Amino acid sequence: MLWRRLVRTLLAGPIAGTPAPVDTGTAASLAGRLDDRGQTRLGRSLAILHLDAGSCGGCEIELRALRRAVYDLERFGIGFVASPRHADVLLVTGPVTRNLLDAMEQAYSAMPDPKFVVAVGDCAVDGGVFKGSYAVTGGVGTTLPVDLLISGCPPTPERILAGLRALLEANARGQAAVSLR
Amino acid sequence: MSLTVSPRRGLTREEWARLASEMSPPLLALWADTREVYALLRDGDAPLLVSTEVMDGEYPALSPVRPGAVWFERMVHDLWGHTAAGGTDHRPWLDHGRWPNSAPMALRPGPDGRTEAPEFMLDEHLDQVPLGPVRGGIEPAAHLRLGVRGETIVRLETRLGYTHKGTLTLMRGKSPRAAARFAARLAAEATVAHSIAFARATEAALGCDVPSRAIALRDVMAGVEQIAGHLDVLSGVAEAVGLEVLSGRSAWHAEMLRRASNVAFGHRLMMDCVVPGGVAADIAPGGPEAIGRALSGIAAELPDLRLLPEAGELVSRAGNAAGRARQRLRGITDGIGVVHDLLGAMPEDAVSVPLPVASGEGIGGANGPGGEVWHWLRLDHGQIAAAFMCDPAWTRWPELEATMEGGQIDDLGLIVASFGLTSSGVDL
Repeated sequence: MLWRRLVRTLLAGPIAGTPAPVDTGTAASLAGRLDDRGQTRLGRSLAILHLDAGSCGGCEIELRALRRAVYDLERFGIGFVASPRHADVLLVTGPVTRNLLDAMEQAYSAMPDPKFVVAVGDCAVDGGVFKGSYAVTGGVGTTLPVDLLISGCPPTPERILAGLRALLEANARGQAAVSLR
Repeated sequence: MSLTVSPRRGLTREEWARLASEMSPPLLALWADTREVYALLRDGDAPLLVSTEVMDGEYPALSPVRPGAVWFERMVHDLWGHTAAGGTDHRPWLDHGRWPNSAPMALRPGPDGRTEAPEFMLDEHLDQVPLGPVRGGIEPAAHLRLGVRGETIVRLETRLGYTHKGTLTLMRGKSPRAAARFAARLAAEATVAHSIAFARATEAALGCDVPSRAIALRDVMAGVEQIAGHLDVLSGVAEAVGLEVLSGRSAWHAEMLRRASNVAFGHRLMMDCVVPGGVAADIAPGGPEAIGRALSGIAAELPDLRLLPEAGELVSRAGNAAGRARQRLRGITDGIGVVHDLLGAMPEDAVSVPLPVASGEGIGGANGPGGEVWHWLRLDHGQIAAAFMCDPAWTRWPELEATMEGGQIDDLGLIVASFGLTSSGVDL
């Protein structure tokens, strides 16, 4: 019965796994990028707008896993939002198809500053296997300034999580009140 | 349902026209190459492949009697430039006027900029709610246009094509081994199914037999992929009705199964693990045990998961989301049994055979989490001369449109989640 399951769940504690420590090297290089651009800090949270720019759906399977119970992205202060006006990060998957180019540019320009662009998956990094097709531009970098590339086909949830947490740390560094736990 | 197809029958124009005037046999897929159009039909229990030559850029349309043909006819026009004479809808489909050429797969592609993204055909007296192509959440790119009266959805019209990557063009001129990477990336939730169907089409074209161990390993991978896909969809459905515990448990088991797949086959989604001629590598030591453990965990949780379709909110709401959830649960139950049996009696044999370099034509099918997938190809001295890949989303999206008619806007999220649709499979 469901109530038994509920009781067992309450007693057993959360099923989310223990996260690895943050990659300080990536965080430091991202922090450098922020300084160069004189960006204002966003605080210790990131609101992500996911944009499918021609993905086969593989990166989405791993992103969904990242959001759900086992990786539980929200506990790091990272969540997905529905509107570009609420987003700090544009997270793009897919090789950026010509049919979606307008929508991507509109979403990016609708985001308030400061904003980041993260390319997730080999397709978003440089077009991946679809490089050279008449229907794709070949990666997010051909159109928007990219802050973080997360390669893999698809990248594992751990890998995406490591990248996003590095971005969070780079962004929050210097805020003494917040520990790195 | 048999997945073996008899050789293609070339039809005269009159025979094809007769096909266009009868309801049966039902249509599974329609596509073209530079010279002919092809229709895959369901003839009783077995699929039947027929074709006819395109004359003066035209062929008789099937859409007047088979509404399911209409998206295919628009796709054939956008990619190859063949017009469906007498068709019910001549709006563009994949071509939104953004490519360097129109009809990019024709012998002589046309100039660019001849078209725009298709206009919506909703009644102008209805209020329209546009959703997409960027919908937030973690959703595939698609534009859902709702024609509403108050809170009621009178009609839903979908515009796809946003994820069109020109995959079929990239496959031309490649060897089957090289092109298999594209088949594996048409729709990731069914990557194994597409790889198997593509491999079967190649093997049928070349007349080569696959070792029994490779066949068994393919079936294991397909079973695991279906169970993980079903769990993903159930997790989304539970989330949509606020059953967080069931959503979390489904997601947990899907994750455990994907980790076991990584141990057994070296990739969480088993992408590129099936290749024409067999499988890429044998199952790793410890792999069968890892998959077995993940499956036992799911089997133990099944009584709880079966409560999902009975949840009050799911039953009381429109669109038969509960029915689709039950179907997914049946898929999980059956799949666990099949994979257990396969792992218990794995034949000792090679895992792949070399492919001859030859010419031929073949078609192959396989079962994915969303339904049957079909691949067809023609090889010319070991290179792909023409190919087509059909994903079940071709029929599932129109099914969603029909289901939403008369539904409530509030139910859209739940019903969309229960379908578990992706765009890439249709967008090619």
